[in-house]
Formats: sequence, structure tokens, C-alpha cells
Amino acid sequence: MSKEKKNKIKRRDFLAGFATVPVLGMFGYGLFSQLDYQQMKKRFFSSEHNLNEFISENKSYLDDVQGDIIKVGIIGTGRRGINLLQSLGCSEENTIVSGYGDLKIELVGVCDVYDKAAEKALAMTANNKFIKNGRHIKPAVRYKHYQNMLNDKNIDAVIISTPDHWHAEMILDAISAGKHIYVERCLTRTLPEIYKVRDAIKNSSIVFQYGNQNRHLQSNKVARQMMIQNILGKVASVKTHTYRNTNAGVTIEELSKAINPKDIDWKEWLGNSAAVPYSAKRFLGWRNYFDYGGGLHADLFSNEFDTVNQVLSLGIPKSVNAMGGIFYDKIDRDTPDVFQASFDYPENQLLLTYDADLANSNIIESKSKIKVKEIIGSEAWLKLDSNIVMYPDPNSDYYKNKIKENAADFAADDAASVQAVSSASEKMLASLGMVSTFKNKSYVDVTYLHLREWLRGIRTGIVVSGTFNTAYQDTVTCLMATKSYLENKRVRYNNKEDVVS
Amino acid sequence: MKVEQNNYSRLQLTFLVALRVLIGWHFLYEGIVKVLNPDWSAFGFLMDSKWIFSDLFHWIADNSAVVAFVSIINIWGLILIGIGLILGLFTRISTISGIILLSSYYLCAPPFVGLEYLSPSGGSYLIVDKNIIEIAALLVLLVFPTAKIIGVDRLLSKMISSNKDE
Repeated sequence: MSKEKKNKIKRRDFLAGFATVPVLGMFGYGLFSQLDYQQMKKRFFSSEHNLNEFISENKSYLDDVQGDIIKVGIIGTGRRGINLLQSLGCSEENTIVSGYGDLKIELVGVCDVYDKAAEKALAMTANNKFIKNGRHIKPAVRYKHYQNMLNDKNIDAVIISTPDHWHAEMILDAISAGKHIYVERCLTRTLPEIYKVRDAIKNSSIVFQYGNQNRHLQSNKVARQMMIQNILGKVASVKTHTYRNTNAGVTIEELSKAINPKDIDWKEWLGNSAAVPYSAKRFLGWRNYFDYGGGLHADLFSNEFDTVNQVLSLGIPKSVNAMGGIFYDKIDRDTPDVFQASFDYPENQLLLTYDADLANSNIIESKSKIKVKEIIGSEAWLKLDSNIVMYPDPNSDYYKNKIKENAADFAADDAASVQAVSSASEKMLASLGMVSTFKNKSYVDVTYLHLREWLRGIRTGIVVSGTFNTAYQDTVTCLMATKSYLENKRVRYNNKEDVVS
Repeated sequence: MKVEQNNYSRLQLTFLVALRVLIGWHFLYEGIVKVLNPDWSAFGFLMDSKWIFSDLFHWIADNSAVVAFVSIINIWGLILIGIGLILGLFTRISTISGIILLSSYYLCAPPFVGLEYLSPSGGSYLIVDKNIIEIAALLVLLVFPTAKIIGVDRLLSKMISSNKDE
């Protein structure tokens, strides 16, 4: 056979060459059937429960903000303060980051009693990574005393991210100075302080934003819709948790080596709290002392409570019972490291519980410290963090009927199964796009969204999500738990007189 | 290595082609589901990486531009490899690319003793997982090629040969 003949393409070559093409046809048909099936499931769920509009993405955070420049000062530039500056775009490096819009702010004032913390913050205020059009900004001025910053007429708004024992006084002074306020959780350290702040806020026109940035988590918004649409049935209990093992003592000891007490205005830091000699344990680990903070439940439960309150609108509980102790930590502290509290809502016929343990990060239950809130209804059990997983109760009347109507959705689900990830219900929720960890294929910084909302409130008067009311309910609830723990009694809230006893 | 392709028996050829098409189907579907899910990103998988290469995979995950690039390469890599294997089109490069892609999955999250992952594995494994079996299967296909007998490559190679002759 000649070479030419051998290389000539014959009919047989076409048959063999395209022999597997029908497989692509089969694939296409299978894919079409699969999509049709998923659409059917989606229609089935969303026709009864109109959740899709709450799942859709809002990408307006990508745009640059329009409007006049707002001049902002920050009081307290420790770890959280630096985080807040980063969320505002401040950066030690002069780089531009896409994905977030220019907030049209200038950081003009920095206040901290610790020189190194203030210097770090000052260096960050010279750059803003969200500014893309070359707008020039100047580095901020440092104030050693926050009062001097509040006296500066140039400043429109202040961020308060100090330890809790300074919050109330700073908020009251900022209100007097007419500055808009963004304040970290908890709002105040004591109940008398929060009553004073409540009265002052009532008579002011400033825009107040509480540091409950999780209000912007998409999963919380979807969960709230699920409650409104009664998807879980009667919710009678909600469980919240914190499990951590962070070796706080070791961390504090390491960090304290880099600190020269001469760089700290210790008297100013102590404020009105008891005069004690400088202590790195107190300065760095102030959350471990009731003199400066509210302990782990105020720091951490506050976040859990605000999420639950956002989803279920519970408000302040009728009564609280709390117990705990320092059972594990070897470091000097007076706030408990093991803590449990029950929050009673007789009008809602609901009990909220919180249990916290700083001895164990409970990898079994929570996987890498993910804080799961469990909302337990008569028809289904919801696990909520940045994801939502719903487990229909196999004995639920509502879902039993659904199983009959559309076996594929729930038949494979087994609420008792520990293989949560492979349960049919999660697949269903994931197919609805309810996995909101990612927006636009990347994490979105909820603190950025929260600060942006505050600045919009200042410019336009549009109500923010971290209203004083949310701060008040959150802080009073946490302080009731503190009071119950310290006084070893059940603490009650009188909603007519708005007082705790 | 020179392989005389026509020496396969009918059964050998049938099952080798079947293996190629089945692996192609798997690649294609893995790619398509990711295209259909606009929220899909390699981020979660990369962040879950363990073992000696985890720093590299975490670095990719931490860098939003790089992770977006890796996600797109992964999605379209899967789809093109899948189509290539099913049709027998550019089969050698598809097979090698498939091996590289699967090796990166394996090295990102190897099923070694003591390494635990947050993302579901879809089975129980000790050292050997589905990725490494699929890698081995692709290596078999690499040394027993079939696309020049059953596949578009048959036509391509003939066209190239006849062009050369002219």
C-alpha cells in the first residue's frame, strides 16, 4: 500500500474518529435532566418559601461612595482598633486594593494612651487602599487625651474601640461634642452607665452605630426570613456556644515582652477604675477583669445574642440565671473561664442558653471555633453560622407530607445523622445558594459594610442596622448575666420601668 | 516509547476507550457543576490543605486575584480535559493535564494518617484515594493510547501525515 493511500481519510476513519461523539450527547441529555430536576426542587421550596430575594447578592459595596468627605477620629488603637482602621482602608503600605469602594473619609485623629499603638495607627492613616482616583490624604494628628480630640471642630465622627470601662464616659462626651459615634461591643461595663447613655442618646441627633457587624451576614438575613415564614415550626429553644482554647496566658506573656511601661499613660488607661500599679496582664488581658470588661460572655455572647436577636427579635429577657467559675485558666483573672447562662422569654415561650468553655475548642462540635447557633423548632433544627444547615425532623408532620409529595428532597435526610455535610437538606439549601460565606467569589468584610452603613447614615440619615436599641438590648442582656453570676441569683428585667433588679 | 496501536485485541481496545470516556465524563461534569454554581471558588478546598504543601495552597487561597485565577484554570481545565478524553481530541495533552490537575488535588489534601479535613471526602481512604486511582488510570491511558484508533486524533494524525507527504 502506498503512503498516499494509507494517509487518505476514508469513511472508516470518520466513523472511528467520531465514534465517541454520541457520549457528549448522552452527557448533554443527563445534564439537562439534572438541571431540570434541580429547578423543580428549587421551585418546590421557593414557591412556598420566598427566600430567593434574600439570597441574591448586593454588589453595591463595590462602588465608590458619593458625597462630601467625612472626617473621622479613632479612640483606642489596640488590636480591634487596628482591625477597624484596616476595614476603613487604612494601610501601612501605599497600595490600592480593588473590590471595595472609596468610603470618602479622612482619618484625621488618633488617640491612644500607648505610644506604639498610636504610632502604628498614625502610620496607617497616611494611606488608604480603597482610594483609586489619587485623592490625596494627610496622616492624622495624635491626641493623648480623647477630650482634646472631641474638642476638635474639624472632626465629624469618632470610633470608640477602647476597653469597655471607658465606653460610657467617651460616648457621653462625644454626644455632648456632637460627634457621630461608632462603638465596639459591649456598649458599657455596668447597668447604671447604660441608663445614662440611654438618656443622653434619646436627646441627641447624632448617628450611632453599634459594633455588631454580623448584622450584614447574608446567612443571618436568610435565617430571619425562615423565621418569619415559620419554616422551623414553633421555636421553643435556642442554644449558643463559645468553645476556645487560646492559651491566653502564654500569648499575654509573649506580647508583654515587647512593651515598655514608660510608653503607656497608665493613669489615663485606668480612668475611673481602681488605682493599681502597671500590669501587663491587665493592660493586654483586660477582658479577664470585671474592672475593665464584662468577661467572655460580654465579649463573645454579645455577638451570639445579637445574631439571635436579629433573627428572632427577642429583645431583653424576662430573667437570667448564670453560673460559672475559673476552673481552668492558671492566669490571674476574675472573670469566669467556664460559664453557662439561661435567658428566659416567657412571652415568646422560648429559652435561650449560652455555654462557654475556654479550656477546649471543641473541634467535634464546632470545627475550628465556628460559632454555631442552634435554633430548634418543632419541624426542623437550624444550625446557623456563616452557613445555614436545616435538619427537618423526621417526625415532623409538615415535612413528612413534603417527603410524600416530593420524596427526593427529604427522604434521604436523617436528622440523627452526624454526617451533616452530606445530608439531603444541606444539599438542598446549598443548591438554593444559601451558602453565604462567599460573595462575588470572595469573603466580604462585614466590618467594612457596617462602617460604610454608618457613614451613609451620617450623610443621608438612612437608619443604620446597629441602632442604639440593638446595642441596648444586647448590653443589658449581657450585663444581666454578669449580675446573676456575681450576685449568685436570678436577675429579672422589668420592661415597664426598663430596669434590672 | 513506541506503541504499535493496532495490536490491541478488540476487547482491550473497547475497555481502554471505555475507561478514557468514563474519566472524561467525570472531568467534564466536575467542571460543568462549577460553572453552574456562580459562588464556587477553590478557596475552601485550598484553605483546608494539609501536609507539606499546605503553605503554598494557603498562599494561593489568601490572595484573591490568584485564587480567582486558579478557580478559572481549574474549571476550564476540567471541562477541556473532559471533552478531550471523551472525543479523543488532543488526547495526550489532555491526559497529561488531567494527571497534573489530579496530582495537585492529591497533594493539597492527601489522605495520610493523622490529617483531618473539614470538607467531605466522599469516602474512607488510607493513603490511596479516588484521585490517585484516577491518576493511575490516566497513566495507563498514557501508555496505552487509543485516540488514534477511536477518536478525533485519528483524523488529525492522518491529516497531518498527508500534509507532510505533500
